[in-house]
Amino acid sequence: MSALEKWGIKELCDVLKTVTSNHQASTDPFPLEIGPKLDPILKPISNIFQNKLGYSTRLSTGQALRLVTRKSTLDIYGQVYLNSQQIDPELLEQLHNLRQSALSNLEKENVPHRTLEATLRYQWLDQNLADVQTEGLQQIDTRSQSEKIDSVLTHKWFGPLIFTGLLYFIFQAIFSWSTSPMDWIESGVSHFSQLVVSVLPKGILRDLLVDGVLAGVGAIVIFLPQILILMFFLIILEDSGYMARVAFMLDRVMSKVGLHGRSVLPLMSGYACAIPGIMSTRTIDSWKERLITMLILPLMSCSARLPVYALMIGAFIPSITVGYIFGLQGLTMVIMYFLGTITALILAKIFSSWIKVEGKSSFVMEMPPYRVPILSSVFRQVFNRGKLFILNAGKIIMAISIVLWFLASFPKTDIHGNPGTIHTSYAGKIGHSIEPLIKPLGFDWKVGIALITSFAAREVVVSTLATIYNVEDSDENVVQLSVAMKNDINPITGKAVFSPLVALSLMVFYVYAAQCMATFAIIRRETNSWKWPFFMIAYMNILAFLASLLVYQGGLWMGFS
Amino acid sequence: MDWQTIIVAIIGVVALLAVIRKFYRQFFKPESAPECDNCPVPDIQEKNSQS
Repeated sequence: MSALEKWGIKELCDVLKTVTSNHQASTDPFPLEIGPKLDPILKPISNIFQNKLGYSTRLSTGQALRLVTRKSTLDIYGQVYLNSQQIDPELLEQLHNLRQSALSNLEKENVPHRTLEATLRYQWLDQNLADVQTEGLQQIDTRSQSEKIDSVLTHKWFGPLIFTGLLYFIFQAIFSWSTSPMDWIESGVSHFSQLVVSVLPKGILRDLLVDGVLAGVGAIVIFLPQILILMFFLIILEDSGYMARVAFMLDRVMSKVGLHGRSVLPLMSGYACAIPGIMSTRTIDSWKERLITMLILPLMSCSARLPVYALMIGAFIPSITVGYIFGLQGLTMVIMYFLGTITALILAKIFSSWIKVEGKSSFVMEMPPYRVPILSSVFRQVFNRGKLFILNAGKIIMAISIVLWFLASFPKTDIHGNPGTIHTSYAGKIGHSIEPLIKPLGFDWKVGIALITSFAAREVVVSTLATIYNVEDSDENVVQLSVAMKNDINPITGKAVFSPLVALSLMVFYVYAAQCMATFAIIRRETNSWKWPFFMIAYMNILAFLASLLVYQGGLWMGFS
Repeated sequence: MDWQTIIVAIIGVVALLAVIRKFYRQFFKPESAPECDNCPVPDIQEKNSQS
């Protein structure tokens, strides 16, 4: 039977009913071997169960063991009624105190309490199985198809290599397969803007629709095919059972950085989005491990970073092959994903030595069998994802693009009464005021504005840059963002504003920066404090600044421009 | 003031209110879960409430 897959449960229930019907409570001694070390620790609790609740020796010992193993047992006693009356609160208090005392005694004896009951049950099984004639040994010795595949996919060395290879394939496919649909969307946006230009008379409304709404939203919608391809592969990996193997492989690393296997699944969901990942940390018993997992989770590259990476890689990383087989664009994307993951693990190690909270949880993971994903289910999930992106993310991107268009278009005249430019606009002034701070990272004032607006969501950086370039450009139609960025020349230095080095610096910045309002809000809610979300923002943004500085200044020092 | 300016002003106010509302709801509405715009949080909450 499997509780996870929900098969064999009915049969088990039927057997239990048959065994327990017409059967008196057993007076046999407790089957598990408590031993002289544990007996004095459990005895005070089992005495209470026996004397106050009238339990048999067998039941009282079993419940004492369960109470010590799991705190939730006490909560259940707090909720249940005994002979139609709620259990005496004093008795609950007494059980609580005895449990605390038992825990400290177990700690002195170096016995982990969370796995105590399971350990004793396995000991009992081992003793009994050794004495009986086991049938079907041949079957146990024969490895199943899933186990054979596991021996390769979760191999100590081949496993991570295969995972890296798969990631590389996915990211390279994102660039190779999305070219045509991206061109279609781009052409669609361009035609629509031409339609707006031809229908509406010249004026402020037409400027807003073309340079604000269509430029901002269009710049993001172009990346929809890439997001859908990424989602398609992630869902295939999840539904085939491979993601559980990746979690298993990461579990080995987790224990070395002070976390446990329970942190793996939230961290893996962080690749799609940090929010459900942070919410799923509720399954982690230990507060310390939960807090560390929440703090490092936003470093996993979520799908909102994809438009930023895709824009920069598509525009500035050449589509060439390195080492005869590897496409440089896909490889750069893999590096960005690994950079976030490896940094998250290093920080987990550092945080686990800083944050002093007691408690460590245990984790048992059941590997699902490999199966062929059902295509209709995969496509339905991909469709839902696309719908969420267009309808939900589209709304805030559109609203921010409109507000930004106002900031970039007004005031219409400068202080001398001359026609205003984007440099004299409100957005220009804000951008220029923060430019000295971000100049060492290779960023100009336009990126500065994008850094501010993208606190709402990372992908807003793309729509912000698109709106600014469109407001700045005198062309009536929507300007293609990647082309505008490539052609942007700094009027003072005469050099290109964006280069491969600047693009790399910006991508590294977005690997680390806490540019997500929703993540901040959910950490505030889940920790019930302002301290931890502010800590997260501070450490991530300092890290982003330093890493970006290192990349840009290091690149300049090495002769790149 | 021409008709284009009036429409643009209305769109601008609505967009500004939408941005403010979004920020407000994320931080000051503890009864509603913070939302990322493109992640399936509602599904997960639904599953959790069912289990």
